[in-house]
Amino acid sequence: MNEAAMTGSGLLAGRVAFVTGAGGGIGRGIAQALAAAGASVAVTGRRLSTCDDTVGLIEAEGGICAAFEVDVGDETAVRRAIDAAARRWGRLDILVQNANAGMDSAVPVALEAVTEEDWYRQARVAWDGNLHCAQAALPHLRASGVGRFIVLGSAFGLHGAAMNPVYSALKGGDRGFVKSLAREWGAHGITVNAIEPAAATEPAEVFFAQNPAVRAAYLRMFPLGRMGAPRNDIGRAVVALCSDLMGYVSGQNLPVDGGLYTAL
Amino acid sequence: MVVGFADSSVASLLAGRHAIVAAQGLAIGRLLAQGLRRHGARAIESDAPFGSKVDAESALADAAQEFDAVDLVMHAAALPTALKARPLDALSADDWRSAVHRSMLATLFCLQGAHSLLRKRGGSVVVVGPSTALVGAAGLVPLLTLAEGQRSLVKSAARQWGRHGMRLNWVGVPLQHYAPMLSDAPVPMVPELGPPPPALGRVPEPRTDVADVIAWLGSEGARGITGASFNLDGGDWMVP
Repeated sequence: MNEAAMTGSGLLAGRVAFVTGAGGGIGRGIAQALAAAGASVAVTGRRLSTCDDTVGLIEAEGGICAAFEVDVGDETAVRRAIDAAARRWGRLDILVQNANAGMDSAVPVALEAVTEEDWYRQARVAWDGNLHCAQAALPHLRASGVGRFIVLGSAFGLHGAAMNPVYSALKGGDRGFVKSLAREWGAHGITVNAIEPAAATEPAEVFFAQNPAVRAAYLRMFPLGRMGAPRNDIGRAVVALCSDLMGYVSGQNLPVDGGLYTAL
Repeated sequence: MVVGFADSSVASLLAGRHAIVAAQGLAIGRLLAQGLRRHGARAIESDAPFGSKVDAESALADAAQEFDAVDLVMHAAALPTALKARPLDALSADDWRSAVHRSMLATLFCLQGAHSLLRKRGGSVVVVGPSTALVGAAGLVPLLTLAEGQRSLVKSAARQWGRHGMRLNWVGVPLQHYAPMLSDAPVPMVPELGPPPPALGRVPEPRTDVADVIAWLGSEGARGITGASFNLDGGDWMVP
């Protein structure tokens, strides 16, 4: 396969994307993949410095992007950034809500000890982030004619992982959000989907460094024998979903996980 | 708090067993409690709001005082702000927080209270939600985000607390029974061109059809089942 086909070069030419949590990990990989496919990308995150790093990587390949400092739990900040991105490039076609607040350690969280503060620390990013991004992006995506709204879910939400019950519940809730919003926004020509990735991110690497035996056992569960790469595996799946090739797919929760979760 | 005694007119899956029904003001709680009594359970209804873990533990402990031990906790939670149909862009931030966060926290606290009650001798927890959560519906983003969040939380709890002999499962019921005020909401139709769904030709009734399944989940016969989702829609969507 040639390089253009591998990167989806040109698939998203002229499109504008807004990616949350793009200062590292899966979000950075998605931003890079979207830019490589021709989209202009708003690289957003809570820390401008990490977003600047992503911007540097994209621009080094000739991609078009800009960094925006955004906390998705802040409704006003989200609206301001989305409007600014749409003004900068004249439109907004793609919103990828990837921002998440997960676990602080590799120690399983005991559900009986979870506090209201634990809930809100993660939920204000995942669920409030979904709401804020959706409400602020709607006018732009509706005007686009090829609007895409994508939420990054998790395999944790599919099988109800024991490690972090709050995260599992939030990612499970993303399913209901996406299915319902897809039905609501279909009339506007906007597709709404979730991707459930299994990727080798920095937090995953930290966890596996602390638990090497778990790493070996976990990798054996993958039919493809490896965890996904943020850019080349997860990012390219997002590119496909955002392209015209998959413009008839909506309301779906798509595991992009090397064949890990097959219970649907 | 309402205490009821067993109805001797039907089979007794729960004879001698004790149940707490904590449905946070949802009318379906009363019907399901009646249904559990048909199976021989002594069932207490608790409508106390679960605003904190302490609230939930206290309310469930108060209810449990009526019994020597508790065998089954049935729970449902959706605050009134979650039980309105409107487009997401018309939703206020306050309504969103109440609909999804406060309702979800009520479920979290209820499960924690159930854990306090059941961790020593085991038991069954059943969380009830709208079956529409499995397919989504326009205008109901908050409710169905909440319901899918509750369903995943049940799975996580089942994985963590199985070692205590606790079994946790989720039961989906038709939206018109879960929230009668949403009977006119635009619930999607299954794309079936043959005999009109549901396959059974009727929508399952809470007091009988649904309560029978919950009673079974609380009985010895379901001892090998946890973390499962049971969609009781009479054979409508038949989700994978």
